[in-house]
Amino acid sequence: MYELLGGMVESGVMRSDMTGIDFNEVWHPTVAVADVVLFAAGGTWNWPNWALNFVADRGGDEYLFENIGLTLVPAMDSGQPITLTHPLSYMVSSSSDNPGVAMALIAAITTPEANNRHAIDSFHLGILNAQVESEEYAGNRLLSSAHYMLDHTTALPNHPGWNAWSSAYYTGIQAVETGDATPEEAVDIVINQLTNELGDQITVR
Amino acid sequence: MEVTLENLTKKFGNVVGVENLSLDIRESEFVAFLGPSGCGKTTTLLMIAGIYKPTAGAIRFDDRVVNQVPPQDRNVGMVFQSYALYPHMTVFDNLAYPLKLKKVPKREQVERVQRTADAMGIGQLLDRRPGQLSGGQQQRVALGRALVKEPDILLFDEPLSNLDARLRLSTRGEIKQLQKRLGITAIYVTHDQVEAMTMADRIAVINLGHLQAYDTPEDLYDRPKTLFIAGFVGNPPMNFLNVEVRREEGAFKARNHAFALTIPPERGEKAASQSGEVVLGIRPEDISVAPEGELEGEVAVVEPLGRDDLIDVRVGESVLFVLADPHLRIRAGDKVRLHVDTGRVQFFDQKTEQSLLWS
Amino acid sequence: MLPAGILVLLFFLIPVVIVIYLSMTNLASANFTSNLSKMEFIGLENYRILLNDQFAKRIFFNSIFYVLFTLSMFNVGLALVVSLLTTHIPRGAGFFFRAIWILPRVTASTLYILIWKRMIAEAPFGIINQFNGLLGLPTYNYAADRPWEFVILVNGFIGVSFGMIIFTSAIESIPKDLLNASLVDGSSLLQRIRYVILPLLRWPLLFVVTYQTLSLLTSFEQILLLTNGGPGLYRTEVWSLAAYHRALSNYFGNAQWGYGSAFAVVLVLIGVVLAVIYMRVFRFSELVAEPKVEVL
Repeated sequence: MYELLGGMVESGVMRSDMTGIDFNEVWHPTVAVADVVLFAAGGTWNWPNWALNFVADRGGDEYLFENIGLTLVPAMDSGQPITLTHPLSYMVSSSSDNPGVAMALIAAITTPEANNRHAIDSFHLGILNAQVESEEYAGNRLLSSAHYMLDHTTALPNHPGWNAWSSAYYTGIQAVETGDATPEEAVDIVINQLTNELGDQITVR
Repeated sequence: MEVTLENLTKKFGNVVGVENLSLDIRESEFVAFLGPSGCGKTTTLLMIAGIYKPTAGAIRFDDRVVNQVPPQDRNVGMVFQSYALYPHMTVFDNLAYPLKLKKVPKREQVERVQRTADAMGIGQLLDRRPGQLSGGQQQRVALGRALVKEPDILLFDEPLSNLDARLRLSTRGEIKQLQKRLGITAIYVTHDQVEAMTMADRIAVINLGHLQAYDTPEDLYDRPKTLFIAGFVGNPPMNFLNVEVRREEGAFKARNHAFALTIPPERGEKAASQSGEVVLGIRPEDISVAPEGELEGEVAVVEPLGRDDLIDVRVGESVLFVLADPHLRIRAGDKVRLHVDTGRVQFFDQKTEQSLLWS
Repeated sequence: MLPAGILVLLFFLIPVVIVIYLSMTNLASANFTSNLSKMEFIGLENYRILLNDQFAKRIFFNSIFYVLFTLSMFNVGLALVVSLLTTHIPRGAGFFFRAIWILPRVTASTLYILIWKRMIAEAPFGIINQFNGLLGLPTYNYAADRPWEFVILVNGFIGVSFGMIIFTSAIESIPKDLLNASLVDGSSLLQRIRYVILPLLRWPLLFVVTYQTLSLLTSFEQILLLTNGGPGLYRTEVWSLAAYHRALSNYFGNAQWGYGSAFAVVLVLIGVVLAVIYMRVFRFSELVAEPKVEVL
């Protein structure tokens, strides 16, 4: 992964300050207009943001449909299309004073209707079968065109040490991208940080 | 060094500090600027020092116009009311500061500072800081700092007003002596007329930004040219009465409804040349309590001054200040007779307020 | 004394004790509890991790670099220059220029940083680059290429006002006679600044140095908003920002309060040590006792 990113910067297809780039000032306005960028890695939720805030004067959704296409990235090892999700679990603590109320709240927001509103307004793919089958969801041009992506989704793990892991991983990305470290050095940096912070919770292979 | 002010004017926005001030100060002369606070005398001094630039007019040092010359090139020494000693420097450094700025060699600085300090009687205080000195000592340091660079002109801005009365008296004499000995042209700003009278060769009386008079102390006191000067100079102030002066049977009489005074011819003649009422002025010390006096009145107030009693005597509708001998034990309510030394009376035009005697 | 003692206790000592305790737990959002007795006490483990952190040294020296340069160039240096300049021009103009220098301080930091970001953004978005383009100069990606310059500039512009106000009021409280005396004694305006005004500013200078060192050491929000410690590997991350990142800002809200507290405690220690050193070196007690200029 680090080799790929480092190589992309070195060969000039990616900027060296990709992680430090200012999203609202630079990244969105550049990508949404779709005139100098060939590929951009982003989330589906960027789409409505662009339509509303960055290309509204050029025609919004229509402009995007004409100029931008969505696709999955190929996985490095297999070449198969792949995308990521990071599902969050809502848990009710054993020390909660009102576990019933908490449960009711979670149940109340986990409905097809509520999730559809979220999905359609912000272009997030569905998370409930009941939601996906609804007319509203199926009739949405954007959602239906991208729905197949769910078949290629892998989930990131959940673990108390997740934060340490993800920030270390991100540190490595920044290191190779900006040229502060070679891919090999970046791996060492990440390993060093993970073993320091997670100790025996992590196994380095 | 001669100093000449020509139509000197200074305005701060719309506020007039000094207007059309013209006077000349002779080589080695000691001139006092006398006037109430806010009259423009310090403004004039600061213009001569170069701190303020004149709005109009000219300042000459000898023949050179110095309006645009910055203070550091004027070679003036100045003593401030607050002494303005540098609190972070020792006495030595305070005295050496003007020399350091003149790039006087270090050895010479030490010599000159020591010499000046010894002359000022502060030779043993050179290591101290101003905060560790008494008011009198600070005053001497300030004077020393003004003198050490051997200035062409010495400026004083009320230098004695922060001293106690006794010290003020002795320092007054010392400054005067020093100035005479060194022969440096000096300008001395004060609101205290005793200082001005005792020290100055000539006094410029300034009021509301205008020059009122410029004369020797004797002339100001004995031959005031205006009503303002007559009232301003002298303490307690001169008494003023409205009278008519006429020639009667070969003598000159000054009369009002309460009294008649016989005036010596050389003064009476000039006063009588004016028809109608004129202002008669007479100083309290020129009136005495005497059984055969020409005036009669009733004592309203007695203020013991020590050497004299100042008594307010009601004569007709007027009140006269009179200096009386305390041994007479005059009390309020006493009836007294007053003798006026008519050889010393002044006369002024009521409208123009100009003296009828001196012009 | 007692009211001051209560304030120090409430707003300094008690929080410090709480943070020190937190720094000895592994409290994080994953095992959050507000019950002190249920927190997992792990002794100095967080400090061991911190000491072994491969970037701790860089972050530490970043902080020193940042404080040193911002303080000397802006919070003290430029503040002094602005005060001296604005007290040597007509009063109204001086007031006007000082008011301008206060603007960065009174502008909300998010708005202030937004302005800066728009100024320094890369071509064709940034205002500076627009001018570069008009003038035929090359354009720059300032945020990526010159992060420190702008971190110091942005913080420096804010920091000028404090020293400026202190210095200006100190200069204006120097008796007029003293300033005039210096000119009559033969000094130029520059010599007067050098020999009379600056020595009389000793106390305010030392006060501003001390106060601003400590305040810069703990300030991070402008850096957070401008570079967020980047680009690359912690290039502009300072200690207080690291504490914030660890304790309060983690992706998905998985905050490590315990570990972040360890960073904060180190900062408190540095602050206290510096304060003591300053007080010793500058002999604050003597300075406070010294008679003021007015009491001649």
